[in-house]
Amino acid sequence: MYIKGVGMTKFSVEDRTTWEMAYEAAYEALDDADMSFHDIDSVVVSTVDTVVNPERQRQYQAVIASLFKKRMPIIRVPAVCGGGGVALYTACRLGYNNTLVLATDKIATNTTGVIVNEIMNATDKVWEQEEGVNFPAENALIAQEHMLKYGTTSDDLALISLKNHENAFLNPKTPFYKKKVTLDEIKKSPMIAFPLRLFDCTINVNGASAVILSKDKSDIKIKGSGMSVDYLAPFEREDTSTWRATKLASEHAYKEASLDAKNIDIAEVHDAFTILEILAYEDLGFCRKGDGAALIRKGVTKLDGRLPVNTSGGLKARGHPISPTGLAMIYELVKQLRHECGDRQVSHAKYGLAQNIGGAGGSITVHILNKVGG
Amino acid sequence: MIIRWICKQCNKKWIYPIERCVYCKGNIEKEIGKQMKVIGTTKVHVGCPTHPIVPYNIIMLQDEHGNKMPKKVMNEYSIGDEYRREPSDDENAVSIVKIKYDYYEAVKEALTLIDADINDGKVLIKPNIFAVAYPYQGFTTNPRVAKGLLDYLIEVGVKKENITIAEQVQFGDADKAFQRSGFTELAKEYNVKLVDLSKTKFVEKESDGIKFEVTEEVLNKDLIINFPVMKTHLLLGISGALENMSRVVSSKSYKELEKDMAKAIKGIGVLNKFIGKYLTLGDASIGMQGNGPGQYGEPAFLNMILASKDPVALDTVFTEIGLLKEAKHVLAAADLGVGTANLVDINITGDELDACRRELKAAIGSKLIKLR
Repeated sequence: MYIKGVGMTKFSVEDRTTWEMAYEAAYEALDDADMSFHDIDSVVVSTVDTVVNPERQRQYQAVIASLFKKRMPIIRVPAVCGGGGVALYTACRLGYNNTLVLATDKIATNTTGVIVNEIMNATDKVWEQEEGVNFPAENALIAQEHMLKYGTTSDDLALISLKNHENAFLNPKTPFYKKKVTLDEIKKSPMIAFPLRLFDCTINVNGASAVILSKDKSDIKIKGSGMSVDYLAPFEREDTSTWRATKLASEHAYKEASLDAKNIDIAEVHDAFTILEILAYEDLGFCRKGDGAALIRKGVTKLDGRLPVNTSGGLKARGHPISPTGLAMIYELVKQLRHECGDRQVSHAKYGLAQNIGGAGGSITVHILNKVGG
Repeated sequence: MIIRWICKQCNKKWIYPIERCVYCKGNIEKEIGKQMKVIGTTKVHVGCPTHPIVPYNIIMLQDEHGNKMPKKVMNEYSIGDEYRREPSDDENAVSIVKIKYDYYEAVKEALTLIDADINDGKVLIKPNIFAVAYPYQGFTTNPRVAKGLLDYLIEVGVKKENITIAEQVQFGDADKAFQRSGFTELAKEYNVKLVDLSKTKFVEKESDGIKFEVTEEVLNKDLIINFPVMKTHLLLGISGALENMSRVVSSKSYKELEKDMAKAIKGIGVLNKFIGKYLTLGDASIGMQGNGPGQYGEPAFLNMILASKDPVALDTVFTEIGLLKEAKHVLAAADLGVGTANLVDINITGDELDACRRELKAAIGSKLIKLR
């Protein structure tokens, strides 16, 4: 399958409805593809229905039908934070000619505590939610295990945060555009769940993103598309510092693309917490297990490094509106592969990889994009 | 304890209590780990409505089988420490046990932690079936917890013929209430007696200047297990251990008490004092918040069980868990010497109180809402 166009809103805390944002992202994608809605024969939409979102709009397929004034197959694919990636994975397998893959969510609508409570619903109710295991805590325990096993440090996590903020500084679609964040600020930011500080955690934002997927050839090809799941709670798995779903999804995607990790030139990975970017380096095969921190220490994944990661700013600094994140990753890769990223443009990018996570590694998609003729 | 459900043939483990292996179709056995070590810790500084008190700690525990589970605690632990839940034989000890899907294990642990002395004599179980309601509504004692209790009683040697479940339904037909609550089916399954207290013989008694007619059922038992639902109550503030025993008096006596709130507040304490020592298993598996104890309240989904030999202490701990105001009838009962309402004197075992606190919606009462 090919990508004809991409669109996304700026991710921000602006108070807009999910349909307004969906409309804007879809419109940009249609313009980018030089298409109109006449050409679209199906929609796969991802959105979560949260208590914090005062819309409480469950029948989202029909919202999309009303919004775009078209009666056609519209499938809703909610998969918490991994919704965008799962929507794309699903759309790739449906066989329609031109599918609008769309994700929209409004999360920044309440106090932090209420949002934390809502997002915690993606963990196990009895074993985790009732024991106060919110996502910062879940990932703090994973970070601690990684630190104990492999010697990763809080300073390494701070470097991930700094890199992603430096990239977001150059990305007008992020809330941190032209806003400088220093290493000192990161290291002195409030503790959220030891060892994770505020600047180790993503930010709650609202937003939407869209991809137009087509059977017709375009300049961007989806070379590989993989998905895997894992048991809901990390403590149920053999090793919480390795996310098997990332390994399995990427193995599938690499195989489908006839590529391996060494071929990847640029990646967008799911750094909802800084430790997850280090896990992603390892589980995607960018380095050996336990060597993830070395990549950031050596600057390999910086904008001017051998393998730039999260050039958009990542979830850390672009923000994470839940479902739209996975398609925002695709947006960034497409723009990079087309050399449309301005100040944050990387050189020599032919293959880009996106890793999108739902829950604490519960559902993971990996997509590999290729600039045709690039 | 850490529980897993395991297929011995396939060696697959589940965190859910499934009955048969989906691979080999074999039976599932429980694997229970009791030697727990701390293998990870984090201190959480961001609170939320279900965990409002910060900072709190989460420790990752691992048992002798290698199974893991997170546990919220306020106490400080380091990696390598042992995690133990010490029982207490204090008369006012209260155990708090979060239910990990298995009601039987939760009941067993809650009763074991307070060193409950269950002999093989006649046992009266007094649930809350005050109205005709389905279990999911949270009005009435959860039959799944009751099943866990019956299994435990039988396991420790109580004969089925010595077990009586008894209640006086206040609102609606008793048979209908027993049926809808799931207790008719439960009593049939376990072949234990299910008694409508309104049809029993009542004996007139007087205590602390209050006269009441009390059912003979409570006078003739070796052990009473008070089995309330932990709820908010629009007139009393909370309805837990003490209030649940008020339905062992005749409807005439109940109406007398109910006429005057001041009398009711004292009367509940007097009645409990008269009944004497009993065991309470507080069912907070669902529980209730808001304008309980019935249709104007809402399920609280607390998923825990409390147990104590002291009903005042148990009600006090529930009030503290829900960050609710002290209830006058509980304080009155404490003044009468039924138990202690002074939190510092209550030995809490099992889950830590501060780690369980969560703001429940208080009952606001209403002039428009009357009990009858």
